[in-house]
Order: sequence, then structure tokens, then C-alpha cells
Amino acid sequence: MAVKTGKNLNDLMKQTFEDCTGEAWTETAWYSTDHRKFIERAFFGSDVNLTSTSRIVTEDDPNQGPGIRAVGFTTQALAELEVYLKDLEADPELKKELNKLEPMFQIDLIRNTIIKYILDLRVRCRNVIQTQLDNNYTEYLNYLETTYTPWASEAGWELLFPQGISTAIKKIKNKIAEIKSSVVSGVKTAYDVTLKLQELSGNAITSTTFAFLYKGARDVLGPLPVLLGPCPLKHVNEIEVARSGKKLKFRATGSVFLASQEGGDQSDAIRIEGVLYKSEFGLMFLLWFLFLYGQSKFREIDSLSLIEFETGTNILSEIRKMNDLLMTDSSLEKPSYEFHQTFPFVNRHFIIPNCYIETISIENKLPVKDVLYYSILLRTYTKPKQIVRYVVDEKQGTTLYGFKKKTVSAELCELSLNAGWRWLNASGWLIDKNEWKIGSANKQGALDTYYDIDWASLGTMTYLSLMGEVG
Amino acid sequence: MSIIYKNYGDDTAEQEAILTGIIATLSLTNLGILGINAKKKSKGELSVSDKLNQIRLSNTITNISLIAYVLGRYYFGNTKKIQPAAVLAGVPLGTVEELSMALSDRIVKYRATGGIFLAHQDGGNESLRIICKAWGKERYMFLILLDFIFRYGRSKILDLFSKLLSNPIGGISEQYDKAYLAETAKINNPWKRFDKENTDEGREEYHMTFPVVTKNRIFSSMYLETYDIVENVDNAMNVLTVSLFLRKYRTSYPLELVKVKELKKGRKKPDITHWYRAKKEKESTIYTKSNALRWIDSVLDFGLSLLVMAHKYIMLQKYSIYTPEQMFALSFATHLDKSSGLNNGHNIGINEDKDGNITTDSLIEESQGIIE
Repeated sequence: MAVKTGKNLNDLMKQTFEDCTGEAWTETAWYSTDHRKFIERAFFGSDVNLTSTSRIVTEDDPNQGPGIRAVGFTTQALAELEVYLKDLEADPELKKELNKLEPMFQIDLIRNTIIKYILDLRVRCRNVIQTQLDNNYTEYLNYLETTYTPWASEAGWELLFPQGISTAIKKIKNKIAEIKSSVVSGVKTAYDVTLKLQELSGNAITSTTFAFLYKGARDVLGPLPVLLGPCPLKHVNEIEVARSGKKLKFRATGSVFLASQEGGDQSDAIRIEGVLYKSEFGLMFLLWFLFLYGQSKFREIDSLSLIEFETGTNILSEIRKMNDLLMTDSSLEKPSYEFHQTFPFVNRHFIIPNCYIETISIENKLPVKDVLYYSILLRTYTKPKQIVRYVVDEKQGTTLYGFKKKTVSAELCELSLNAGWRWLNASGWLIDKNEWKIGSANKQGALDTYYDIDWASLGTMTYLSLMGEVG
Repeated sequence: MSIIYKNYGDDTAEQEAILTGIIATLSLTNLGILGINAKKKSKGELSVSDKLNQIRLSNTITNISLIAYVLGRYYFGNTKKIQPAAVLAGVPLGTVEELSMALSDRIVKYRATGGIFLAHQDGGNESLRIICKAWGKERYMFLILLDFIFRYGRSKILDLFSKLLSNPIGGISEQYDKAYLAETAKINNPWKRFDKENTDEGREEYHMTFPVVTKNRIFSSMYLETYDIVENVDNAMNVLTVSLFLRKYRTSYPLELVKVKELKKGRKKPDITHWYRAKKEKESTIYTKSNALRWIDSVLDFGLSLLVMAHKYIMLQKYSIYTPEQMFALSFATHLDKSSGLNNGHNIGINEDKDGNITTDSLIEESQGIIE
């Protein structure tokens, strides 16, 4: 039903505001933000104040009371509206806007806008009604929902979307994209979603996966001290995990030592020593594969996405604040960085998701020849995803690069996951707390004293940790 | 709440109230400071000096609150007179094997305690190494706490130039004569020229800190630089050997910067601007006009340590019910923190009988090799 006459409009109003009170309509009219400019000029910016209760025809409601149901505009209001619409058509500014559109839509545009406005009011009124009448109105709303589609079509759906339903769908898609971008900026593809998730939760997903794998491997192989990527290590003599704000180095293991050791700041260093029995010699190849997997490669800086800062931000300052690697590029070579593929290290006390093998030493020596002794030295490596670039001197080609740090939420996710993992193990749900009991502290004469940590200390530390982050 | 002792329910309502009060004060004050700074930051008025002041204030509040809390619990609310060897940011460590503290005129370095060591050490001149054991299901919680403690004190970076260039708040004076520096340079803190384009020079590392209370000394403003955890079959895989490396960090005092412009007369090139900063020597603190701020760490460390010792002496006199043998056993149990090693874990091996006499379990002596 296209709106052509005042009667049509009133009929539409009656349909739209069937159970809506005049007051609610007037009140909600003020909430409208869509097409605000147009609406203000159409209704509020003139003498034709259609939202005034004096211009609304009401009738008695048997349930609510006298004069409470709005059924339409008064004749005077409609006359004023018609005059105003004519004026509106002559409005030079509006005409300017309308001229940008195809001529056939011009007059319809005004009508459509009014209808859209009315529909908009209807939705808003429904919200008010729903609040006012609470659950009693749910049934009626459901009825409206089921009858809405044919009604809307009859009421001029095509006019609202003059270019057809496909345009409407496009608009809806755009709206969804707009909401998405406001929540998660820059998300376009599945890869973007993965990156965004990693940014928010770090390596929590990988860690969780490998926690389950560890559990599965234990079910198959029995007590298992370490799962290194896909490689289960059963006979482990020593596990050492060190974490520091500075660079860590390994001491010599056996007859081999590292000539020069690197590794970034604020990274972990892990050392595992153990034996492989004859039946496990095959694992040696798996370890070599892991070594090759994590071996250092070089990648071009350009392969990373560049972080765009707002105009006026001092990017040099942003780079200075980073704890991670800084680089300068003043050569003709393309700037690159060292890269490692990583895999998780899982044991009872730690899930460290991003490790690579720096060194493996395997020895076969007397007195037991069919036993291999191994030392695996692991380091952690955080893969850079984004980069900040600051051109110091364009003529000389001097550029500074800084890798973006992990977000606080990512660090907290990983921290929480580790905490959860430890709670799980402490409870004995996953790992029997009496495993490896021989020679344990429960043996008399070994060690014992008060050693208490409770929720209060945990809570205090969590609080301090967060304060330290924002401090 | 049994933050110190195994026996649950030791705490009185008063102690609970004091603890709650302290934590609430700590939280609200810190949040208040952050709120004020957030407001300033949004207006672009937060200078680096302001930021450093905020870090200093937050650290001081945290240190004082936690020290007050720990001392209150140990020395005034303690009915058993047995203390852990160290309390790390409010977390008691009763399993300490070694406390190694060092104070030097130069930077001190740590030796390796296991198979891993620090490549480059450049922290302060005061350090503390704690080697302890962790076992039982509590060890998992202990590791969680360590992560938090490490994260709390981890180094963060401030950019000295970030606000100073665009919004010179915080005591920058602009001069046209370099002689100004010679006239005003402090003997202890000579001026140092630095380059605003140099990323290394503009980076100021800072840490959030917490106190460590040991049986003999109080260390304020410490942070956990490194920790090393070893599971070894020799010690049993259920026992972790934990090495904690702590260093002292004193927040820099408000920066004193001078911008000296070199006039180029008769040349079209613009004036050259040099930046000078009161230089830090050997990690010493920069001279500040506020002596109270300058001494606050020393007061906390030295003054309170004296208080602790004095109180211990008074307590010893007051509770002279111990026989020399009991004192002997007690000192082993507390000093080395190796008491009975009982299976159920509810008994620490030192008890009080109905008449109030202190009795020790023979397992203590057995465990120490005192008796066969």
C-alpha cells in the first residue's frame, strides 16, 4: 500500500500504533536518531509538530483507560503535513540532495522516509510497550512478528527499498560489517579472525589443544613427564625451566657447549635431560624433525602487517616503548628478521606454547651402550604479527622497526590457562598426585615445613600483577 | 585464612579486618592514582616525570602496605613464634635452603644455579637470591604465584621524549649558554648529553616492586628478575628446586632535563638543540631536593630491619620458657626450615602440651641428623 492520501497515512498509522499510547509515541519520537536531520526539518523544525499529543487522535482503551490509544493524526495535522510536504519539496537544500538521486525516486523518497520513520517509531514504541507491559505483551509481539512480513510488504516495503530486496540484503550485510568492525576492527577473512583471536587470547587455543593431547598420550603411554610437540618423552631425568627479563644462556651439557648463544629478552629457556631406551630410538628422528621444524629462517619485514597509528602519534615513541626487537635498516638489502616455527612444551607444571629446539645433544656411551642420553635445549619465540615502522631519514633509507608486543589480554589468557592447568593437576584430576612418589617429600626425613598459599595471597598477587601491567 | 600457618583458623577477626583494610587501601589508592593519571593522559598533560612519580608512589604504597601486613602477622599476631625464612610479596616461603644477599658498590651478578644462567646482567647493586623447594599440591599454586610476581615486576619501558617534546612539563629549562650546565651540575650527578633520535637513550626501564621480608632483614623495592625451576629424579620429580633471583629497583626521581640551544649567527640553518640530563652513575639515584623521597628505601630497609631484630630480642626474653634443647631444635626447625617431614602434613613437629610446655618431636632431630 503506497501512501498517497491522508487516509492512507492514517490507516497506516492506525495499523502501526494499534496499541501504542500517545504519550509513548511522543516520548519515543525524541529518541530517533536515524535521518535525524531530515526528520527534524520535516516534523520538529516547523510549526507542524506531529508529535504533539494535541495532533494525535486517540480513543478509549477498555483495559488501559480513556483516551489512551493512538489511532492517527487529526485532520488539521494532516492538512498541515500536506502543506509542509509541499514546502519540503520546494526546499532548495533538500532538492539539491534529491537531485543526486534518480528523478523517479524523489517524491517517493519523501514518502519512504516518512514511512520508514513511522516504522522506526513502531519498533521503538514496541520497546516502550514491552517495558511497560512486561511479559503480558510477549504474546502480542509474537503475533506482530508473524504478521509483520506481509504487512510490511503491503505497507510499501518496495518503496522502502526501491532497488529491490537484494539492496536490502546488501544494506543488512553492510550494517553487520559495520557492527563487526566497531567490535573487531580490521576483520575481513578467516585468517584475520585467527589473527584477531591470537591477539586477544595469545596461544591459548594451541595450549588447550596440546593439553588434551598430553592427556591422550598419558592414557596410551602411562605416566608421561613431557610432551614436546607431538613427541612424548617418557624417561626424563631432569627438567629445568627458567624465565627472565634478561637473556638466558645454557651451561654445557656433556661434551658439547654452545659457542654463542642468543635468544630474546623476556623469553624462557628450557632444558630437558633424559634417556631413550632401545625401543624408543625412533623418537630420535622425531626430535630431529622437530629441530628442523623450528630451525631459524629469515623472513622479510614487509611480510608483516604494518600498524597504522593515528595522525599526530609519535611513532618513534611507540617503538621506544617496546621491549622487543628493534632494527634499523640503512642498507640496500630488504630488512628481514629471524623466524622460528614453534611447538608446545607440556608437562605437569607448565604449558609453554611457543618453543623451538635450539640444540640437541645425543650421546651413546658406556656402560650401557643401548641407551641414548639426550639433552634438549629449548627456547621460546614469539612470532611477530605486526610491525611498527618509523622512517628516520628517508634520503638515507634509515628506518626503525619494532615488533608489537603481546596484548595484556593475550598474556592474561595464557597466564590463566597455565593457572587452570596447574589447578587441574593439583587436584589430581588429570595426573595422580602420587606419581613419581619415590623419594618425594612425603618420605620421612626429607623436607617439610609450613608452606601455605591460599586464596588471599593468590588474590593479592593477581591484583598486583594487573596493577603492574597498567602501572 | 592461613596464609602463614598450616593450621586453618589461626587468624582472629581483627587480623582479618586489618588485612582487608590494608588490601582495600592499597587497591583504592593505586586505582585513585591511576585514575588521576588517566585523566591527565587524556588531556595530554601527563609528563614522564608525572609517570615516574606515579610509579614511585605506587611502589611505595605497595611496599609499605605489604611490609606492615607481613610484620603485623609475624611479629604481633603470631602465637607460635615460628616464622618462615622469607616472605615474598606477602607469600611465605618456609622451605628456603639458601638466602644469599649482596650489596655492592658495583653491579652484582648471579652465578648459575642450574643448567641455565643469565647472559648479561645489568640490574642494580643490591640483590637477593633465594633457593627453596616446592612440593605437594601447593607447588602448583606456588608456580602460579611466581608467574604473577614475575609479571608484576617485569621490566617496562618509558619513552623519555614522548611527552617532553610536545608538552614540556616537568622541569625542563631552555638555555642558550652551555655554561649553565657547569654552574648547576651536581657533583654526584654530572650532566649527560643525549640524542632524541637515539632509541636506546630515550628508553627508561622501570619495574613495579614489592618487599621481601626475611628473618633478618627487610628488602623493599625488589623485583623478580629471573626464576629457575628444576625437576630432577635425584631429588624426586615431585620436588621442585626453585631459584629466585631478585634485584632492587629504585624508581628514577623526576628528571632534570636541560635544553641548550646553540645559536648559529649569520647562518640560515636553524639553531641546534642539545638535550642534557642529570646522569645516573652506577645505578645510583639521581639527586633530588626531597630528602624524604631519597631516604624512604633506606628507612624501610634498614630501619625496619633493626626493628625486627629488636623485637625478636624482646620476644626471646619474654618467652624464655624454652629450654636450651628446645631452642636448639627450634632454631633448626625454623632457621633451616626443615622440621619433621611428617606424612600427614598437619604437624610441624613442635607442640605445646596441656601445661603450656613446648615439646619437640624426635623426628626433627632425626631429620637433621642430630640423633640417630
